[in-house]
Amino acid sequence: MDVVSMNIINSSMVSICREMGITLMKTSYSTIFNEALDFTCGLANVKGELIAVAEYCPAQIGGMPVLIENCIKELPIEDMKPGDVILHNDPYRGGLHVPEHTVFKPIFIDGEVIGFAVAIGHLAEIGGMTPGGFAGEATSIFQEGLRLPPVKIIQEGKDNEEVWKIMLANVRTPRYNYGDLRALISAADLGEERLTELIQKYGKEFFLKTVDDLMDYSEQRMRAEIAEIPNGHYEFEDYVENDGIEDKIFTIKANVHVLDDEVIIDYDGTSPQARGPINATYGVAVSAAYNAMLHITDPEIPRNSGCFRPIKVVAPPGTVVNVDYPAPEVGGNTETHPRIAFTIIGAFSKAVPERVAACEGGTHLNFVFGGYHEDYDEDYVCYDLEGVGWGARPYADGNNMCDSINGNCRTTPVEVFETRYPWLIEAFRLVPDSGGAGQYRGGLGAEKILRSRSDLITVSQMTDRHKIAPFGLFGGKEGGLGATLIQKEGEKEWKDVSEAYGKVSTSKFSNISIQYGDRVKIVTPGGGGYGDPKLRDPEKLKEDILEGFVSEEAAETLYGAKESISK
Amino acid sequence: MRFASSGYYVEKYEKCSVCGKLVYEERITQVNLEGKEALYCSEWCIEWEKKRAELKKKKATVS
Repeated sequence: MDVVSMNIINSSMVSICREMGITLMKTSYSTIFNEALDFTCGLANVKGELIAVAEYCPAQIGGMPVLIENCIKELPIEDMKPGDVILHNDPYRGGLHVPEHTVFKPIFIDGEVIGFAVAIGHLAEIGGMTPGGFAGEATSIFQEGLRLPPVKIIQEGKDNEEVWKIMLANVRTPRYNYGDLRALISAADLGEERLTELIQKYGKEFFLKTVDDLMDYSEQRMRAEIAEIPNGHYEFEDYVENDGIEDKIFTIKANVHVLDDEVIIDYDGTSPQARGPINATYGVAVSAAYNAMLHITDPEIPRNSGCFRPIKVVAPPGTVVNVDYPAPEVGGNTETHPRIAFTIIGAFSKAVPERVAACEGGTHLNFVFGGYHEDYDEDYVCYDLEGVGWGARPYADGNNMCDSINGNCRTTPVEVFETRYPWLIEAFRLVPDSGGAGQYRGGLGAEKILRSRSDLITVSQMTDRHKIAPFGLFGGKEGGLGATLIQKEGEKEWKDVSEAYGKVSTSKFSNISIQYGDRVKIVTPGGGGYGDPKLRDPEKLKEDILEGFVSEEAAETLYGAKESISK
Repeated sequence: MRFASSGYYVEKYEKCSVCGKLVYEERITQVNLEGKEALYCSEWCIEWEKKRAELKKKKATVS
């Protein structure tokens, strides 16, 4: 193993992936890409294994190997030609959820495919029953949008116009979809070009040998990390509050078996699949397990499929963590993924409490809407996500308002949001006391108030944590609940969507009509606390009160502070 | 998942009955612990099904 060359090649490949992401960000049309960065760029070997990835969306990082491995079973390598670009989004063929579109391009060296440049991104509009793709009340995959098996969108360097026509005829915003797909393709093109240059510099044989060594090295590092965890069987459960169709709770269960330097994560005991769209695909179940493992192990381990070799995932078919065709699944990748990941982390809290955090808000809020924009004389669609409070750690408070564990995305700035879409943002502020009390306090969620500037905006949402709060650890309290409330023009009262529109769920719904002057208030959940609140450093508590993070009342009732501390 | 002999898709996604992974050509079909015919992707999954049942039994006895 040539460690120096391995390090140089690894760093070069990660830089290529980062540059792919910057290309995607700068050339895309939709805010979900150029502001929120809801995408991932990576490089894979000929077997579909991840060999390098940049620090974008973790849900897509863990899902990438499953996805490519399945695609090349269906579209064999021998059928690929130089200049081909393959597009895929099918959740039932290794994908994560319908909006997640994967573009990958084979890399040919000496006439032979040696790997793939891969760009995965969440398209804001995909057809289906709601503008924005998150139909909170879908009961079938066919209501969720256009499904694409692996198809060549570019054939030997030329557009496959038939595929483009089908795709663009099935969405509400063809101009934006065209631009965003071109951005994904550009990222893959750049990855192919840069990796080819790198391989030519080092030679094919040396490069391939070094990448194999790199993956073995990551595997060794991950095994060493796991070996430090005491052997045993650790269990934990958390819940999804409903599925948008039935008002009932769904259990996510993680059985974590640590056996020397390997881990088996078995979801046996998880609820049967839901009628509504909270179901996760197999790719999500695997990705969430990898995500959790990467969070409790050394962040310096090079990220590639070598890391994943010591982790075995068992996701029983027909359950909320491995949905069977043709059930709906769009929320599985955004809502159920964080629930799975933190259920695993919760299980590990019993083995390695010093490595874990309390639960974060665990939702992307997924506030989607569409309509006609008078200023631009065209239809628009937006997929908007928001941050949540993160869970407290054994040594620090949780961060305020960061995207959930599987997203790592950014919040779209208010100025951009108001320019692109017909909303006025009247307030966007942290919510006091939303961080779970603890020796280390959970991060705060926020409240955003939007007022419609359009006669009609069609709104849907897929979120959670309106009823079941994010858990604290070791005496730390739960984080604050989220909410979505509507205030109709001319009324004073705020109502949830069950009260205002008769929906089964306040957190998962499709196609409500928002009219001119109506307000929507979105409250995002806070993170759980870690450790007994009464052990919190009084100076930190005083600072919390001064910052407005903790109210004086909560300081006294939850933290046991005497009156003097708050004065 | 599998394909019809015509080469067109058949919308049937076949999964390992234990780990839930999609199963293609490499497959094992045998009777499971409940006495029903089941599909497996590997020997590992056949063994894990047995081991998991033992662990559950053990846990039930302890509690």
